[in-house]
Amino acid sequence: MNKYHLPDLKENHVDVYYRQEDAEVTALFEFFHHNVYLIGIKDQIRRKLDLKEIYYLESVDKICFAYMDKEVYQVEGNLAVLEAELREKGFIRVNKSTILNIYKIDYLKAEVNMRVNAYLENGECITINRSYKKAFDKRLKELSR
Amino acid sequence: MNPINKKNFLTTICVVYTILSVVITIVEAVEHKGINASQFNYMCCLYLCAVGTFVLSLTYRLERFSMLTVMIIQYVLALVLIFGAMWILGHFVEVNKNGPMEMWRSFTIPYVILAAAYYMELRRETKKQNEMLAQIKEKKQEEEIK
Repeated sequence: MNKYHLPDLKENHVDVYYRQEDAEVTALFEFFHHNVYLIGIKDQIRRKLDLKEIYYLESVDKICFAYMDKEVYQVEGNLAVLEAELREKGFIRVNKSTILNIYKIDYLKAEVNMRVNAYLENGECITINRSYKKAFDKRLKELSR
Repeated sequence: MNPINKKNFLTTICVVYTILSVVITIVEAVEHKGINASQFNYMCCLYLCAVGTFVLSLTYRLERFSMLTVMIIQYVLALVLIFGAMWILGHFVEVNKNGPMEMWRSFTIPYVILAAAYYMELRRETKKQNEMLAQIKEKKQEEEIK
């Protein structure tokens, strides 16, 4: 195995050279593709939370919570750090205290009071603050390309 | 002092023209010891622009309210400032009895039109975002299948 430390790189990446895709190589791919998770705490029990199951992250009294379909877990870290770490996984800040998983949005709606609400697949509704509207729109355009 | 470049060229012309026009109007009014209808209208426009700009600049302070609430608050505030000024002016000059009504109409009609235009644009944008969202989810599903 060769390792190259290049401080000028824009981001870390892994290139795998293989002669044949055997079980070992497949397991390696699985590790890098799916090994994205947060640690959630509930009733003093720690659990790995798959990012694909998280609907949104919300900060309440400086504590972050991850909202799943029917459960809520406390997660470590602050919203700004989570926002930066999870950006490439489809998470985006929509108001001062919420980071939303774009893939869990069912549809967006412009309400009569001129607010834009994101209706999630589990029926919940999150308001997209107009200060974050431009960044939200930009991110949607980036992901849809 | 910032240098004048392509970006601020037109803005600079507008600012300089406004300042010069206001100063000249005031100097002429002082010289002739009175203000004519044209000068009065000119200063009224300046006041209305100042009120509009001030009211719109409050938008960032009202972020926690919905845009509709913000528009109503700004509309009421602008009306208070405009009618307040008219009332004060009424103590110095004679104001036409239809003046307040006409002022209200000339302010309200464009305001309502602009508010309606904003809402239509918001709906159009949201529809486009929903289309993009559908594309993104489809793309994600295809990647997962691969």
